[in-house]
Amino acid sequence: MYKNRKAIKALLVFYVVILGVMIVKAPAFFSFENAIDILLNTSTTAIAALGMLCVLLVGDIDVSVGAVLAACCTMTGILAKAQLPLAAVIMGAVAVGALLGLINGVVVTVLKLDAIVATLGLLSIYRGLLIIITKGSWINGLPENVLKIGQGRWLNIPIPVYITVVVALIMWFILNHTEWGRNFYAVGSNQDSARLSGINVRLTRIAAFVVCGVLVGAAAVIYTTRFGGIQSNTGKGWEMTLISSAVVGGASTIGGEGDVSGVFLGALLVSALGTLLVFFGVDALWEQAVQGLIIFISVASYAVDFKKLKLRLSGGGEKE
Amino acid sequence: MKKLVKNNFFVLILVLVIVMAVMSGMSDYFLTADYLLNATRFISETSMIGLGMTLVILTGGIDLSVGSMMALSSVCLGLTCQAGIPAGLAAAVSLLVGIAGGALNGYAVCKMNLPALIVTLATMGLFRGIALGISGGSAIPIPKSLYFLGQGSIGPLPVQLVITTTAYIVIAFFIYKSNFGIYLKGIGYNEEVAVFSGIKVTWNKVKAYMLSGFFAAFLGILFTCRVSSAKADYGSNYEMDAITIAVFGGASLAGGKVSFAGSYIAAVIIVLIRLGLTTAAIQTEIQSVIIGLILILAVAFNNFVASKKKIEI
Repeated sequence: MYKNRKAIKALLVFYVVILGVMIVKAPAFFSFENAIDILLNTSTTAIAALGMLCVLLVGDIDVSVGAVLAACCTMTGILAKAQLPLAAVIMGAVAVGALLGLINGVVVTVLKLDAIVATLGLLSIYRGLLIIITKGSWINGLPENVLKIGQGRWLNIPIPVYITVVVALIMWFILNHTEWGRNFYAVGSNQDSARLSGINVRLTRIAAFVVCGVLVGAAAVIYTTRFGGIQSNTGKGWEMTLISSAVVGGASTIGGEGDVSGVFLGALLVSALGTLLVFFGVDALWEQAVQGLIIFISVASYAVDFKKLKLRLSGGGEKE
Repeated sequence: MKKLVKNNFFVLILVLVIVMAVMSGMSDYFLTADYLLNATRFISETSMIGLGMTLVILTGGIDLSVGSMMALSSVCLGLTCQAGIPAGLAAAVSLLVGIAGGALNGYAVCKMNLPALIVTLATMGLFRGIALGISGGSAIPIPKSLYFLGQGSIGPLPVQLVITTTAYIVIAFFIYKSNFGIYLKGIGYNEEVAVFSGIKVTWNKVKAYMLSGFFAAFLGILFTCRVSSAKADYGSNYEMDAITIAVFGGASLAGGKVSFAGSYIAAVIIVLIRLGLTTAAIQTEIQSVIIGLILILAVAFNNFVASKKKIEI
């Protein structure tokens, strides 16, 4: 828990620095529309990163999320084009996510594979199958009633932002106030002691993968309806975005550490970086380098011991 | 027989024979000397990226930045050659960049105590971004004198094959016969014990990451010389290939257990499957399904065998 607080602290310092620089360099950044835009960009990443958080909490990792996203998006598209009601479309996408999450969880826990290896293999299997099934075609021209989710606004704030907030609140409640959520932490901190205290470790790990799949499914509905179309290579490299969001937000890849607020802040930083760099006037070619550098610095900053730093600063001019 | 089944290397050879048999059944061109010699160019490239990864996995770490490092070294080679620096020196600069990148990874992982997965995830974006930034995203031609490295042959053998095989033998020799290998293995098995045994854990781990960077950069040079131009988008997803090879070859991601011969054969199998399916005109998507299945089944089998072993002891 302590380490996680430190990550959030580091992240907040980072935010203050960035916002401070923005006030001086680009005051135009602080407009309502821009804030809304950034939140809209964050919504899919944040929702899915919360799913990734669950998997990381139990000490596993899921690198197949990009392919799962593509599968859920395709399902959304197919159901929406069949003129099914909105609820059915959402249920369909979430069900596909849950099913693929279940497969991930079962393969990892029953075959006893390293999560990274198993989901790596499943990633290429899902992607291959998806393209074989859809024949690589794009889906677009979705009906209006479905597009409302991604593009509609209520009280001038986009609907995905509300969905993100609701999902984050639900996840916060589950992780902090239900037995299931606490089991995630217990299993990730120490599997043996979790088993000895009567937790079904295998079931908990599978549940984490299913939750991840469900949330990726929810993100897929927003993703599809926001852009109104899906390409067959949707979500390529997305696993890296999610993992860096979760980790920048203080989730540990070893398990047992991380919480909703941290991951939300992490997702916000990772997905706002693009916009930030545009305001800074960074050349598009250098964008990826700067993004990588910022993620590297924010991860490296966890290694900084703030208490020591404070002492040194207050000590005044003391040498290293 | 029982003993042979438990030997991971034997299983890999068996898989290789099956793959060869199936592929030659699907395409008449497959089992010809020309085809296989040409295939070794691709095989050596893929196995080289697996070599560095195998070393890092031996210490219990992982290096996701290899693909990006390969692109960065390729672009460095192109730019230094364009600036008029002699080809040999330019290649040396690229290799140095690789070592420096590896040192950065190693420093962050060992000195700052950050998880390897995260550090190399960040440097993966960083290296690729730098490659994109300095090259401006365009392809850079390289001088003709360098073509030999990627397209020439020594006797009947392609240059890459000779270089990569030598690299494998040298590294395997150092790992199995020198203290360095024992140190790395010790670190991979149990880092704390390694510290208390007086092994310089940090320095040895950093060396493993530097070697990983070095081999990625070397591959960048070989690849650039084969396709005759340097570009920043080379080697995307190569980190996944590298992990697949190392794990398929018998490495445990927990550290302490790898097999260099296994990694080499695994690279041969994976490349032959890809090439063979392409020659037999089978969709790339089906290839990706097959390779994914092989990875999962192979690792599941390895684990199954390992669990049997434990019970007997």
